[in-house]
Amino acid sequence: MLKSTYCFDRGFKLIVDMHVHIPFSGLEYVEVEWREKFKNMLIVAQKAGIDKQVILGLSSNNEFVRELVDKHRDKLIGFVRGCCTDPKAPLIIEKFVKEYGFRGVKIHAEPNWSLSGLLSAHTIFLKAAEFDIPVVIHSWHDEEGLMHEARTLIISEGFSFPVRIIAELGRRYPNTKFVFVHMGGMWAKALDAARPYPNIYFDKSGFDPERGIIESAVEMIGASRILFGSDAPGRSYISQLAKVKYADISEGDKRKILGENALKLLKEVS
Amino acid sequence: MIIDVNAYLGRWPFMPLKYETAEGILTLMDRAGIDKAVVTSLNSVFHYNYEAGNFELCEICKQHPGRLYHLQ
Repeated sequence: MLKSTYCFDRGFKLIVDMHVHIPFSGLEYVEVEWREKFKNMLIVAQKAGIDKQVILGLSSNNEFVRELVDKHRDKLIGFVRGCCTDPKAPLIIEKFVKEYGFRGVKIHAEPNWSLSGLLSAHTIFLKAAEFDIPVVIHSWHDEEGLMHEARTLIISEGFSFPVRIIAELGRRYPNTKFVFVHMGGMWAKALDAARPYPNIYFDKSGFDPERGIIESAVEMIGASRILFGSDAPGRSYISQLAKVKYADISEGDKRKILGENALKLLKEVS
Repeated sequence: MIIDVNAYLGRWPFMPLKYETAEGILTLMDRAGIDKAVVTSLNSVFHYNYEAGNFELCEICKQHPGRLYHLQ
């Protein structure tokens, strides 16, 4: 058994990483030798002190996620990819939840579908509410009225959506729990938009300059709706953990962000 | 000794960030155990009159010898 060498003095029940992928190449393909690479990720996560990882399905790799989760049930939790252009998506979600024990849904941009069309994923949101499982949504912020220069620097076409959609989802689907990753993209506005909706959560996986993001998020919506997510292997476990470790917030809030909130959301504790 | 060779001072133009001043950076360095940092001014990255940001940075580094450095 490897000893945790990098991370915290463990006053924590568990550290849960809510945002991990199978090593992928583009959005459509997993990397060659991904199994071997994922083995290394497991070792690094263990050294970092991460106890459980949520593996988010991307594109058509739900079956690969299933293979991993089957193999490492004590460490991995599967989230099924909800393809918004596939009318069968609710049935696929149901199958993966009922038969394979998946615990959530992941929504991402698709080759011919932009995240700005999120409001059309009605049946997926209702299916998630039916099973009371969270919907994790890739987030990168867009906004009407931005200068051209700002758009070129901060927008990722197809992967971005205006912050009003976050609020609209919170309002329309009060029984669906949403997790907007990368802190909602342009996080200052995203956090503000989510204030009235307790069904909206954020993970703090990284992006553009974000100095003080944890402190700002806790000030704006409190620690109970912030989740630790690394976005590994695209980002490192350690750098994302350090953002919480060195944040100027209480130890109690750190515990919530690093694990307690996720455990509640995943219904691992009463 | 830990030296951060890529730190920034000043205001990121697209979003509010905490710790944007020299004092803010030094607070973060102390918290993480970083001894020294080589810093750039965001004003000299994003402003047309980038020289002003460079001069400003020189003055700031003079006030924090041994902790903050700029490239010559």
